[in-house]
Amino acid sequence: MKILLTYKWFIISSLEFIIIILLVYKNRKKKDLEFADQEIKRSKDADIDMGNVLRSINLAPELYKKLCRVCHPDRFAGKPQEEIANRLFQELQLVQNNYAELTNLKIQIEGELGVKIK
Amino acid sequence: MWGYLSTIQDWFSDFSERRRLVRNFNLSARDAYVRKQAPTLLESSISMGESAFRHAFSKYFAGGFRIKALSGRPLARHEMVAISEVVLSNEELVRKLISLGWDTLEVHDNAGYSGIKYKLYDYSGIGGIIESKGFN
Repeated sequence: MKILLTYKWFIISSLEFIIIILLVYKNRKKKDLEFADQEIKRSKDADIDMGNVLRSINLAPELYKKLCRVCHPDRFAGKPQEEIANRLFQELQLVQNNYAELTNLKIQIEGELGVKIK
Repeated sequence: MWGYLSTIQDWFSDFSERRRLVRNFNLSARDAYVRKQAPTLLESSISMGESAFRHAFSKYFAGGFRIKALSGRPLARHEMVAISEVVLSNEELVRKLISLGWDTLEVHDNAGYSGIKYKLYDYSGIGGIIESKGFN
């Protein structure tokens, strides 16, 4: 007990030092998660076009089938546009569920392949 | 202390953001039905979700994003799958759903209990970020 009283200030300062080290370590660990927090914040703040989502649900399947029929590479086999049709057909597979992208691709198909799509 | 305050603030802002997303979906679905672009009126709502699909940000008892056919003709199973595919292929939307606390996508018919469920985490592509939070 006498020893504790003699060295009380040393014990108190050691405890304070340990607490400071723990807080610094905790603060360092937080910085590693900053990138994750930024990504999550960006996802939360993203502006989603719900009109396009609903159009994609209702209108995209029909438009996709129409565009597939029009720009299938087999239709242009042996012709100069075969390579272009191949590229456009592959792009079509990537955006088949997005009505806005399909509409842009439709304009591109009409322009590059010279076809008219009703 | 500031950490707890920001957690409370996040909870309230998430709550309003979730309601806003559901409302935007329902307004767009109503517009599509009125313009005869959609054969069925779809409605989204917040449901309990599937406990097995939980992740770090899941809200308790509110982890399900349910899309239900309200009127018009009933949905066939392949149509429910097609609706799910459109939602799940939109990576931005899936990430937003996950970051706001949803973990399950449910698509239901208006008759009976037939429907399908998907685990949103599998379609997000942000597994590393969720795991780095130290939860699982």
